[in-house]
Amino acid sequence: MFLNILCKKLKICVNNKQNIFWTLMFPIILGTLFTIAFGGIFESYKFEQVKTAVVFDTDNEQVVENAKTFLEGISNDGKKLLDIQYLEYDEAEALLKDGEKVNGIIRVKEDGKLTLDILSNGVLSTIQQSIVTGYNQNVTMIEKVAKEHPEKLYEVIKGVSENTSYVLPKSLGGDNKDPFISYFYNLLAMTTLFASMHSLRIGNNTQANMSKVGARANASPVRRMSFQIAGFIASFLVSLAVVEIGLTVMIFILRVEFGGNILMIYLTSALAALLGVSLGFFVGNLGSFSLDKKEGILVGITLLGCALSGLMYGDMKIIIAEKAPFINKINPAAVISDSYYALNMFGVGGRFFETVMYMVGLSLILTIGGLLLGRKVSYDSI
Amino acid sequence: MIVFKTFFKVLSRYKFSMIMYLAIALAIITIMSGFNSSGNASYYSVSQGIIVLDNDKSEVSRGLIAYLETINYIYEDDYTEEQITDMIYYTKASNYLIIPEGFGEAFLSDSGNPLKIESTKEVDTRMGYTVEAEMDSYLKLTANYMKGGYSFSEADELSRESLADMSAVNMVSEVVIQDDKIFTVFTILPYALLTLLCSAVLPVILRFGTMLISRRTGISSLPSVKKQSMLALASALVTIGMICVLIIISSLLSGEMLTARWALIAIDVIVFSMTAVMIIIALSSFGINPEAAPAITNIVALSFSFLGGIFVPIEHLGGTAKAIGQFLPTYWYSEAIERIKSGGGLNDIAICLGIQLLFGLMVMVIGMLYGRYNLRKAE
Repeated sequence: MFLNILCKKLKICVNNKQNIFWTLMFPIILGTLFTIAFGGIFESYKFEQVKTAVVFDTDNEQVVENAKTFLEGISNDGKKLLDIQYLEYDEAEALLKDGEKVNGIIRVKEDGKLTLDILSNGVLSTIQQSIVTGYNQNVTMIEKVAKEHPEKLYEVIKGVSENTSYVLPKSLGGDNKDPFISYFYNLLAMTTLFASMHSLRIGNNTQANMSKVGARANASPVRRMSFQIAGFIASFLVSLAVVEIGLTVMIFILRVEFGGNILMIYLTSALAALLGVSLGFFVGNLGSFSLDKKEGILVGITLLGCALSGLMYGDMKIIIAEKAPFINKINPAAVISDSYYALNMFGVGGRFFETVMYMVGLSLILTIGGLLLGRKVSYDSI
Repeated sequence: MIVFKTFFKVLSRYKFSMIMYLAIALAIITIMSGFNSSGNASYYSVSQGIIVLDNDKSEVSRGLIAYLETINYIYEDDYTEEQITDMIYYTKASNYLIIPEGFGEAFLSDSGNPLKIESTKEVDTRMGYTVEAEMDSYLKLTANYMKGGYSFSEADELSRESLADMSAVNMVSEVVIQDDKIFTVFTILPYALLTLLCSAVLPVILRFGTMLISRRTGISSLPSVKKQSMLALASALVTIGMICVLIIISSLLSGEMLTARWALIAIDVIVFSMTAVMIIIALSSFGINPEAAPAITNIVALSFSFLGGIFVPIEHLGGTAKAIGQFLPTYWYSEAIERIKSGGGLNDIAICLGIQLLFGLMVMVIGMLYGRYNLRKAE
């Protein structure tokens, strides 16, 4: 009998095409748009040569030679730092003002110092400024030492020409370090939490005073809990299919690199879908509100949770981690997105299992809570 | 009048989601308004967050940290490895520096083989490199001053003074871009407007259009034109109310009201709202189930916001995103804000306002034609 009910419930879920369409289209449409919007941003953060025009305002060959040697010699991890074009000032100015053809103009002055002309502030301008300031301060220092401690001048010039570095660069661990991937984590979190819409009707459809279907179900000799469990399993199966199809489209068609073991990503999504369905099941059994009100509660929980975990503004999660870390611990959307993040940055380990425990634990609490709430309801008393 | 009253009766069902979207939008506006800078009339170095673990605690390490603090924001708390990874991943910090024990001693002894400061960063990022370059510049200059016969404290002072000198940098831009709070706050308003309209007004109109209700109202004595105009009037009233609430809240948050640029921004908001209403009218012609409103709200609001430069500035988006964005009203709303930022007047933003309205009209006409086609098909 249970299998019979399960099959019927599965049919009902599959026939709710509108619900399936939107929960499936939601990650696909937004995933596509996110891929278009964020595709190139992280690449632009990566280090590339800074396009720089160099103009000589002097004919002093020594000054020109020193500046050329210095500017061409600056490198970062073996790569040249500046992409230099030697130009007349008018040409350089035209390039500077014409979009992004050069980021700044370094002018070599008669006194051996450099100046920098830029259009706007930014990281590239800061890099150029640090080069120009560094060079000028060496010139100033040599002049100062020559004046105050001439006997030390040779040592200072030797020191300036030495290529000493005080920094040992190390790379951050993890698979995909693109911070914009967190928008996809949150999108998945929202998709899995929206899976709650599939299980929302279970409560109303098993209570005689809430719907006609519920009245019919209660008139049958089958226990109410059987209807509820069958409905829950059917909703979970449909949600699982929808979420995993959405995830597959993101991974294999949109080529989103979530980072971490791909099988674990699928398993995590299954757990997140279970959490979503449990949430819907619990809210569906909560009190005797209308379906609209229950839907409003679910949308509110999902949206607020996703907003706090950074769906609209990526830094929100880290801001909350600083100001009110407990919110990230109890917010289902934040925990789901954190599970994907943990897989990406730390692999299958303590932090990942912490999120898994939360998802399993909360799913159990919500499901049992929903069953208890649905079980206790009685309508008439003689 | 019955349609008008019923509209508000149905609308009251959505007050919870309206409050929710308004709260979300306000939370984002409040947080983002804290990140505006003071403008670019003069040059300033870009600040980075740096996590520092000073195992040395010497005069040299303290001098280095004090120098870095003049440009950047230093985090010196006891962070776990996971917290550090989180901070670098979410770009809260660009580098995690570990100053080894004995660093100061080795630096002062000038052995030619200094102890190195471990700098963990996202590989190849410009921000990470900038901090490393700042450290190297300071330490090299200080070391060379010391070679020139100065004590560490003298060398430290001279280096800091020299490196703080920005007189070599000239801003050659003729346009001074204002970067005040008002721009940050109002840039996010389209998201709030779209979510409020899609989550509240759209489902109400959709409910009036559901098969049973439209058939019921269709056989009533109320003429269809009157019904439609009552719906339009009610929607307009709700939209005007939303605009007023959002403009007042945003003005209070930004601390600016009734200035010339405020008026220009308000015009931009009003034009965008008209466009948003036209989008809603178009969407309502497609016979969508009202239950799909939450999904539609998120798809429309998030995609328009991300591609239109509402959450992420347009200049940061990739080429394809920019190209697509140009076909969205949110892009032209943001463009108008950018032009006002650069000191533009009504003439400068007129084209942006025009394109927004044109987009709205085009979408609305397509929606209405589709609706009429469906009606004829049904007949």
